[in-house]
Amino acid sequence: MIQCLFLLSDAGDVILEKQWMGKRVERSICSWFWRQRSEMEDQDPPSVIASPTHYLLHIVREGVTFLACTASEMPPLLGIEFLCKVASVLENYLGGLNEDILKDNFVIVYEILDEMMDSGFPSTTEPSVLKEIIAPPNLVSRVLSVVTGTSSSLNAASPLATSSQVSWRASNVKHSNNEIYFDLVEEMDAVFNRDGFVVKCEAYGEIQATSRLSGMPELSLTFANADILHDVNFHPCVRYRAWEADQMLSFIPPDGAFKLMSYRVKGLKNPPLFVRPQLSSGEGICRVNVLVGLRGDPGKPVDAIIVQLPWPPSVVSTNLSPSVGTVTYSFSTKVSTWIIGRIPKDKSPCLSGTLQLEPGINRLEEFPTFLVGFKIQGTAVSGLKVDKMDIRNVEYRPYKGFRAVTRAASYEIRT
Amino acid sequence: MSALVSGVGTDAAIYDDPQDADIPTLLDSRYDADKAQGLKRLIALMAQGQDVSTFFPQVVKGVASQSLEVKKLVYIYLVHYADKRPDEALLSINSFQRDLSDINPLVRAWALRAMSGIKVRAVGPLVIMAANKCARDPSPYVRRCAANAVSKIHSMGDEQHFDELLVSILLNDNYPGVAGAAAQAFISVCPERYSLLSSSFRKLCGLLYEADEWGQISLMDILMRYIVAKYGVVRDFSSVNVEFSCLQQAHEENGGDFYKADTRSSFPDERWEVRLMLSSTLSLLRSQNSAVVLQAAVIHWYFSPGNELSNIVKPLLFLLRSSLDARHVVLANILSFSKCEPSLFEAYFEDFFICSSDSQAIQALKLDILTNIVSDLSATQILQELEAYIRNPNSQLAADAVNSIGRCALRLSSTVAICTKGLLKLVVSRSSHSGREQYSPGRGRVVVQAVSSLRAIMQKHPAEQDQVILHLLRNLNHILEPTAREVVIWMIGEQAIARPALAEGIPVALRYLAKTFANESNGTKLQVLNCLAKIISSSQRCSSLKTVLLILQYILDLAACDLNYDVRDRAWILRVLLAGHLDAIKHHSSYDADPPANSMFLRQKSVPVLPSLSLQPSTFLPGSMSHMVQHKSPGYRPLPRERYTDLSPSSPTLPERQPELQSQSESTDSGSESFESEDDGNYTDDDLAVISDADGNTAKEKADLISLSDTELLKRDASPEDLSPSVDLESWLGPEEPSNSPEDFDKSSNSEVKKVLALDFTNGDGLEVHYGFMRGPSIFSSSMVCVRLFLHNKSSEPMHGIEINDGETAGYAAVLFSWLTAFESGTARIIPPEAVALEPGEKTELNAHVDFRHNLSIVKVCLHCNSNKFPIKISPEPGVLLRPRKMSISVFLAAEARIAGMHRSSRR
Repeated sequence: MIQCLFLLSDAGDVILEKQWMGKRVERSICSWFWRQRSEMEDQDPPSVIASPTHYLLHIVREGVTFLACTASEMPPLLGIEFLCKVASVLENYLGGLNEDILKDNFVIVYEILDEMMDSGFPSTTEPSVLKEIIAPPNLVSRVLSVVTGTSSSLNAASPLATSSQVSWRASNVKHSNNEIYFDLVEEMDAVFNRDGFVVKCEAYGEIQATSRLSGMPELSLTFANADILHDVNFHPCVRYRAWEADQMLSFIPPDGAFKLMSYRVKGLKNPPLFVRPQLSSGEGICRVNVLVGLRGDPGKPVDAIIVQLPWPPSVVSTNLSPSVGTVTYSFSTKVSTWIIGRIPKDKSPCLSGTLQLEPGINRLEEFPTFLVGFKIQGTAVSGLKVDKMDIRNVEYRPYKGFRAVTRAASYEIRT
Repeated sequence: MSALVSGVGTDAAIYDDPQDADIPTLLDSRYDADKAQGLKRLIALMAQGQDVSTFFPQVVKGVASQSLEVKKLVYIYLVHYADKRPDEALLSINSFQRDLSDINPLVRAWALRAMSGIKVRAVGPLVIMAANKCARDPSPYVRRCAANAVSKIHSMGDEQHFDELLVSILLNDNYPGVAGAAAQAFISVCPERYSLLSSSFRKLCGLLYEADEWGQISLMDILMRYIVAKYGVVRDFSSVNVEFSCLQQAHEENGGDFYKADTRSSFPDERWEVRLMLSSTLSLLRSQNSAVVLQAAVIHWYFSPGNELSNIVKPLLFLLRSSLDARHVVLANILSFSKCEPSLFEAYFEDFFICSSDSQAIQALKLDILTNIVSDLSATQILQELEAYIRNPNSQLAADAVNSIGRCALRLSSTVAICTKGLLKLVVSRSSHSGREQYSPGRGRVVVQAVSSLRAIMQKHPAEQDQVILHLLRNLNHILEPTAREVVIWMIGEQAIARPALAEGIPVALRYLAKTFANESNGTKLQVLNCLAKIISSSQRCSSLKTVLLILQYILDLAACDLNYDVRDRAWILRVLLAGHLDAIKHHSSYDADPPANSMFLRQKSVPVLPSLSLQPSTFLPGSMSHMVQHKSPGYRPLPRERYTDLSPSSPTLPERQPELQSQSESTDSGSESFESEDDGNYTDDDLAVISDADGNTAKEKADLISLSDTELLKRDASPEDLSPSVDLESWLGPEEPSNSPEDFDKSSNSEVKKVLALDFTNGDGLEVHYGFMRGPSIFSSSMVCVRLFLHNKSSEPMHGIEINDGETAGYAAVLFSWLTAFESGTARIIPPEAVALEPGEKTELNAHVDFRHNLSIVKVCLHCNSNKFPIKISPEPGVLLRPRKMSISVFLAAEARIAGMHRSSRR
């Protein structure tokens, strides 16, 4: 089982350590891990490593490395998922994750970590339940602590969801404004081969919900086109039988923000952007010509278009000029970044110029993969549509909100 | 107070400078606020890695505080230093007991948590009482805490009975969260006590979906093991080992669809448990927690009938996108699944395409999976994709892709033609443009890999050879990478000579090689020599012998003056061996092919296995740590093998632990099998091993020769003799570390030899015996270790007739005789020293020679003194006598992975 957790800063320093078992793990394990990491150069080491004394599991969030150690057999994914949970709970509590925030709130961090794991096994990890035990820091309590001199983050009277039938929700939740929001956040993965054909195009989406509802509301959410979903997974509150029978999400929501479901839609036919690169090299230089344009009509404007062009090591310098936007080149990473923003109506974006190759190399023989980023507000690129949302078991009529946004995740153009 | 104000309510100031206030004063203050301040400062110091356990007594007093915050902080401190200051923790036991009756469930739970952390025997009964009380607490939070405490109580003492009682109470809890924690306690307290589960099995399955995600994992684990113990499994990873369990038979009888029956209807037969488990874990495949999904998938893997196994595929693949941090582990498990059932993942090959954010480990796993699942339908697309990776600037990925193309061709014979064509094109194009000075290592890597893949394909499908070899011959002058050249030259010697179509090409190639010989790398020179020897040995089939002969003599002359002694030696050996051929050809007489030389050079080579890029296939339980790290981690429990017939709750006896041992030995057996099969796979060319045999060289020289031979390019340089005692390595696996290893070291008298107390003078009538390992080989046998015994007569009377034996024979002569006979037959464990006598206060040292049989078990001997007998145990210490053993890195890694000791944690 997990013996301890170290939080490491991006320089490899230990921000704090938490030991859960009697047997303490020395800090030297962190320097061992950091050496491994630096040997891997730019890559992140595998999430599970066997050190000479311990098995190390780690994840990285916002530059903070969460490193857990164990000396015995345990499911490695349990450890990794626990670390993810710790990271998300801390982020949720502290409103962000970085070295300074963690140091500022180290007492709360300790209290949370102590609650989340008991003798090496995860214990209370549901954020809504945790918040009943440990109150999140907020300005009021801080000011109060300065004024009164007491600074307790612990809730004195703890209801502890004891009488509740569902473990993720207390029975006595009360809000003056009853509201629930759903955000459809979709990420698009696409790969284009050198001829411009789509190798793979799919959308991964999450429905992130924020619930501020009193009592024990019974919600049901139906989609107009649930059959397009290729893969799904659900928050534990979702009743699986209802989904199997009617493709309907039926659930009692936890209080606050949570991830209701995630899904994947495969085999999409209409990636919103095309990028047409042309590279021709000879006699020590490589001529570059990259065209970017819209493919079909996504319905809403495509924003924040950015193209990353990582050049092979044999490229010495670049001389590129765009018709729209700006280009920057980083010498250390050999990446050109072309920031386009929104495509203007009258001009089509085009990047042209030359690359200088290393002396002695005539032609470029390794071909880079370009990465594209963009954002489309107000539309889900998979085409998933929410049909209706019903609420039962409560007196009031809550405010309901839906939003959708699409981002590019791994949108790759091979050359 | 000043610190508080400046920090505007945050604890930043405390973290930055915890010691700017007097901590002891704060801790002793009457005010809770000050106490909290002091504790926060201590925790800040703790976070920064300082040892603040000296404050323990003052901190413990804080438990009595009524402030919840102070309590919490104290508990955080206590858990951190629980085992460091157990005696002082006892001081607070009264406060803990008072807290156990607090109205706030949090306080009750924390008190139990802190109490169970104190590792003192004397507290044991109190903690058990407390846990017992908490296990019946109205608050589920406290009950869950009790479940967590059980494993801590278990690790502390011997109250096995209470532990199991508690576990059974908690397993019957109706609150899902408690049952999950109880399952975890079950795993750590009594994992083999399946009879506890049979009564609550149905209820646990029902609670499964409502339990929290961590509890689900533990619950699934115990339910799965229970079912395995009762019914066996449907499929396994080693197809040889699959027993025909009653489950499998049932599937066949019912055409595999009896699971379709409604789970709520009355169950006609006893297998309802399997059905219930499968149906209740089905929904968990949709969990957001990747660990839950994987565990559920493992259950379905082991138990669901063939047509329903596809249930696990989509959820597993979705994890690759939905839980990015879990990708590496999930892929490693999919690799194992796809190895056994490639058809499962066949249609989903697109999910294993590499994207630029994948790390190297993930890329390797994906490529391995792709080569596993390639089928006639997907071959075109997969090969196209692999081709795209070759263009990637990442040379490692490019080389790995080439390796995968080779493996696809080996797997699917329909792709051989297209793969060889592609690889050839690659070799030619990558080589021919190299008209420049510097040679990029990345490109060289791709060419080497391409040529190696070609060689493997050629060996498996000799029909395609003509064109390929001709192509390679033509481009030999463009292939600059020495390793690639070696492989091509090897192919000329091995494969070209059998082809009449290529007969004309060979002399041309040889002439070219003769011209460039002086500038070749050492490895290539050796290959050229070998290649010539092969051609000469098969002289009947080569038409232009005269030319070859001239070239041979020219090259032998050149090699005889080479700077490298290996090349010179090789040339001399060949000159002697081929003397007969040379003479015969010179005098135009027919010479009978010299059988030894022929068998040496022209042996049939087996098809090599292109190494997989990531994990070796293993038989470890999927989803386990051992599966990921490729060795048996401490605490790993394989699935129970044997079916327990009696699982009724009334069963009074514990199931024996025999099955576990048995399955362990099974898994090591299969491990050694793979060890050997790897052997066969890569071992394709053993000319030189035979040469050294013929010369009667010693083993050491042989090893040297081997490492110079062709086998080098096949990445294998350990001789078969070096590998055969793999049992040695295996034998380190089995036994546990001796539990009663003596720890009393007498370091003062002899700093060099670590002395271990074998017999204390209070037990030995005044005779004290230490032993130590002499770091030297035994003169009797290479398998024995020299152990020095240090005897000291601490009594006031002389001792005589001190001798050591196995406790049966008496008298030194008789003992020695029996040892010698045993020694001759190879069964001796120990060669005893001569009998001695000791005056009061006298010390002496004796040498014994002990054969530990390459494992860590204790050797028991009997010490006779003044006609008294004293049993002595000599426990071996790993690493005292090390002997270098030559092996290739892959063999080493495989061997290392099987040694449990490398990763064993010391138990205290």
